Amino acid sequence: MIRCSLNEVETLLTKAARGCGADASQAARFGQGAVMCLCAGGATDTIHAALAALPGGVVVEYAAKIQSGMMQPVGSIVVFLGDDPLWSGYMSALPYRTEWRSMTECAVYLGTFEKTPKPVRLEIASGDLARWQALAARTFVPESEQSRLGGAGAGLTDND
Amino acid sequence: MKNFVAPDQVPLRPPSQVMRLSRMGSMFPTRLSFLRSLIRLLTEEQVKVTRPVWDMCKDGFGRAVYSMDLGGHTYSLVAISTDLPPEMRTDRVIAEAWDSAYVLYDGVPDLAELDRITANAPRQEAGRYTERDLVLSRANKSVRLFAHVTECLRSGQQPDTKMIRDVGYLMRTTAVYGNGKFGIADRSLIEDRPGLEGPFAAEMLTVWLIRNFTHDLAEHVGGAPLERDLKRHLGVGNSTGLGMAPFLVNHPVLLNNWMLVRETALARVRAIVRLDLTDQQRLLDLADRATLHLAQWSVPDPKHQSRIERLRLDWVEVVDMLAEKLKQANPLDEIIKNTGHHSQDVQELLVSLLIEPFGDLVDALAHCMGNPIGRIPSFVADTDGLRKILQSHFAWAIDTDFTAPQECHQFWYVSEAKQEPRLGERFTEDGADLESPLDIARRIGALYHALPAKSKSVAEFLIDAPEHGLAIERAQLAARYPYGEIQDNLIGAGCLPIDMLRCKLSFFGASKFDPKSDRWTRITLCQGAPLVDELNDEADDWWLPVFGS
Repeated sequence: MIRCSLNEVETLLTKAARGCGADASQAARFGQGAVMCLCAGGATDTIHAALAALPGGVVVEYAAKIQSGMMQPVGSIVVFLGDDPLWSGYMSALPYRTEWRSMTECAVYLGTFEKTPKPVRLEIASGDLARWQALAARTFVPESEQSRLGGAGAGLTDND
Repeated sequence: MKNFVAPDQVPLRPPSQVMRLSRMGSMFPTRLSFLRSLIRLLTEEQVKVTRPVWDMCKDGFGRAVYSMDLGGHTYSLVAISTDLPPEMRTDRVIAEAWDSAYVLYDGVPDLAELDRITANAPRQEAGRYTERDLVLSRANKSVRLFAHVTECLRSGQQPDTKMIRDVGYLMRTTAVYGNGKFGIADRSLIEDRPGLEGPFAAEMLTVWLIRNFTHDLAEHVGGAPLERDLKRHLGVGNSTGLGMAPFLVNHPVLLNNWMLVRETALARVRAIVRLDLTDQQRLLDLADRATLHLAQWSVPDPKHQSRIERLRLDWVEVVDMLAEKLKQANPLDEIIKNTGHHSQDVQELLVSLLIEPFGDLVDALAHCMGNPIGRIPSFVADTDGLRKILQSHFAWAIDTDFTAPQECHQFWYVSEAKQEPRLGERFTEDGADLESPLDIARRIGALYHALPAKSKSVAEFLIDAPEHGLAIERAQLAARYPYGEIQDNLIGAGCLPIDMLRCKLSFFGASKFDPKSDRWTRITLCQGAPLVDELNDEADDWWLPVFGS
């Protein structure tokens, strides 16, 4: 197991989601939701399955569901229904106060800003990290010589 | 409890004026820049820096620890200096070894922790870190200045002031990593801590402590102390490239807050009805300092040097005009109105100048530059509502023809080798199919043209067209965060990333921009800043550092 920072994992999962074909905003939300899912003790298998379903799957529904629920006026309490761990992660990643009223009902207090407490570290198996890294690598581009010559530090004597 | 009455202010300059790339690329540091705010805080807290470890050979290789208390916590800079062969010294991000490596540590490291950091920090990205490691950095020597300074000190002399002025630093950092990179602490761990809650506060603290280390190292190797004035003018250099550019696009709330605070500060000082003689004189003195600063700012790049020279000439006119205008009613507002015909360089230097003397009016705004909550979009019900937002906030994007080659000439991507942002040319380089989503203008245009004639809910639209998710999100952020979007096409042939770098670096407090291409620049941080034993009443007076005469 590797002790990771939460931002490391979120960044990696965001890239992995993009590598699986998710739109940029979906990928970002996926990264946030997936980390919160893992913080709450969710299994990495949940994350693997959601990544495999991209660019479709429940993640697309989540975005529309949140969009439509958030149309209520500030001060409202919106109740979202859902029972899978990734959805719970999505709810926890929202910047509002949330309250689980039952296993499937999450109340979101619009206008009451609150961050869900998070652990200091996540312990992730190196095999899981490697899988996500491989998906993320689908978005990487070999650097061209032209680009390399234009990068920071390029074209100078470094011992000046 | 006192009632808070917000100071008067004139209307803000609109985002359509402020958020243009060329203006952002003309910005100068202000008293609200993060380094300035940090130093003020360190002064208020009367921070004392100690050096519990100095384990350095006579040639300056070894390790050191600097510790200080801030806001009820103790932080330590661990500095490791290594003997780097010249052929391995490079400022490129692809480097694998550096003259020195640093960790800002949460607490005071015991021997085991010190050994762990000593084993990992010199390896930088290849090392592994813990939540006690708050910031990771590295720096290379300015070989010619470091050698000159140490040789002079060894021979009982002080270094050449002209050389100090021309170079300005003994070492330059090539990366300052925060927020969880390579396993270091997440920002969320420290964002509520007094003193570190501001944007990049931990990173700026690290840089200020690194600067102190570079002074100590030169004095150790040289075997004699540097004169205080010389030391104060030795900041920390930095090489910054494309890796920094996407931050401003990917953090629209922070960008909004930074710009909004700066514009609010300007609007407040523009509302001053009369200036007393002390303030008039202070502004004139600062304008003279700016003149000297410009005279001492020279760069090798001919294009940028000619821009500096133009600015020097125009600034003379501004200074001449100031003496008269400062005596009149609404002086600062009148000055801004009367310089609209000048270049953006002049206008932005003036903004920075006019804010400088009025800490009482503006300094508290620095507390609004973070983003402690997160992104709060103003959700829109239907696609007609989205259309209205796009028309009112994104007119600059929706009229662009993105099928024209010059409007999509470049593409951003993440490099395979170092996983760093890069910029390619779409029609001559491979990889555009893996483009990073920094093409906000093009996405906004695509969304606008994809909106249905008959309105439907945004949720329904999103299900059918998830590829517009990012553009919808940006549209819904725009109403709440009007300064959150760079109002230019970031993939167009005319996009100069250096403008994004200068904007961000000016918020850090950087000066002496020295662009090496349109994609990377060298800068100096902490130049003129108080030394660790100078956190006194004078500590805040280092806007646009100058040296000698």
